[in-house]
Amino acid sequence: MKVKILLVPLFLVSSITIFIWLLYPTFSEFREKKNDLLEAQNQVADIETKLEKTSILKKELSNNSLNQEMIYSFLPEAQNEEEVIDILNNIAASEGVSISSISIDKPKALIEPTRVSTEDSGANSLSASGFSVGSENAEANTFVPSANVRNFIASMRVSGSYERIRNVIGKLNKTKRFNRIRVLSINKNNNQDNDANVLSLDLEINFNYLEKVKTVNSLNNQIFTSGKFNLASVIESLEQYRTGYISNLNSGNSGKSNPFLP
Amino acid sequence: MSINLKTNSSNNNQEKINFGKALPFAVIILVLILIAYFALAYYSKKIDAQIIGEQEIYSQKMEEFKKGDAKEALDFQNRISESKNLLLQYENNLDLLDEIQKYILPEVYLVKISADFDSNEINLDCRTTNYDYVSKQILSFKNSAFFSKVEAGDSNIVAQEEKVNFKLVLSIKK
Repeated sequence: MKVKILLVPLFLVSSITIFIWLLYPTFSEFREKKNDLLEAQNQVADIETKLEKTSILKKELSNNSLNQEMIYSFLPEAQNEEEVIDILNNIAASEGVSISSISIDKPKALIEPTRVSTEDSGANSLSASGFSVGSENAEANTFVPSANVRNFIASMRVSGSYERIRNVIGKLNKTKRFNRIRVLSINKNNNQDNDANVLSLDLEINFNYLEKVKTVNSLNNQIFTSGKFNLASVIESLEQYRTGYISNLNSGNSGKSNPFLP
Repeated sequence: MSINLKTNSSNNNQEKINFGKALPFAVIILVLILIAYFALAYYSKKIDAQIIGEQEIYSQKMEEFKKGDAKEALDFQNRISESKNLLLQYENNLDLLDEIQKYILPEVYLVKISADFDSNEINLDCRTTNYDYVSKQILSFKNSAFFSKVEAGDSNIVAQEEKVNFKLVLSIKK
């Protein structure tokens, strides 16, 4: 009977002890794991949606090869010096001005970037999250390209009449590859012919390019959520302002037995 | 002297009643707690396995994402964004020449124009026949809304040619 008296409190104490030391922590852990599972499931669902959106983007790219070409001509993947020389030479030739010199500097990144991507680890590894600049608000505040856009200067000296020099400048402003005249100098005294109508034009022109993305580090870019490129306004502007020369260079035949022969 | 009114038999009955009811409840509570504990432990392990499964799926999908079309799409979007920024820098340099053509006096002609579009500073080397036209030319450029500042630079008379050389520094209004 005495043992029986002890059993009830013993069971109750054991129950309370098991509840406090085992059941409650296990229940808390269980609840956390449930949340973790839910989070993991959401992540999988999210990446699946983004994969679907990426396929849509890929289709859009394939369907709009003209737009793609326009953008890649405007801001190419590499410096393409030959293209720059071709543009300058073609414009000068089309206006009948004589070229005295053309030189191209080595590329450099812009010194004053307006925004740097948060995960960016260099020009070749643009982060997906870093480019949430897709938003109009972010872009509205920026007036210079980011540090990822490489910049180099081409210099050119030509001589010709004032009207033709004007045309050269006008055509440069309209080439399909982006360029911006930094320094312009028109000089009456520099011409060798001493002809009053012949002027010399010296230009320093900024050209840019953007290296191709080599890695995608995160999913947090707006395009992977929206599934479409924010293209319309850019194409409209390019069609409006960039109607000029586009380089379509072809090296032609090559090879000779004596490279020193003219 | 105290009198005990309770009998032994009535005490025994009370004990039997109390423990007879409480003991099964105590056992049931303990058993239920144990069952709940083992059930939770079992489902926790199951959830662990599910989390690992989801993480593996996520890793696979992420690899697929990185190696797939995302790079190309991102590259194109970056190019669009940067092109927008570049388009904001668009300048028609002929506007400057148009403005100079519009405001230059017939009696004055240019020898040199140097324009730095980064600093928006324009240096003009001009030539005319007398200082009257120098002052009029400065005033003429000041009438243009295109320029925010017009400053007179050095000037000198070339006696042989009977001309006045003068410099002007203009700033483009932004």
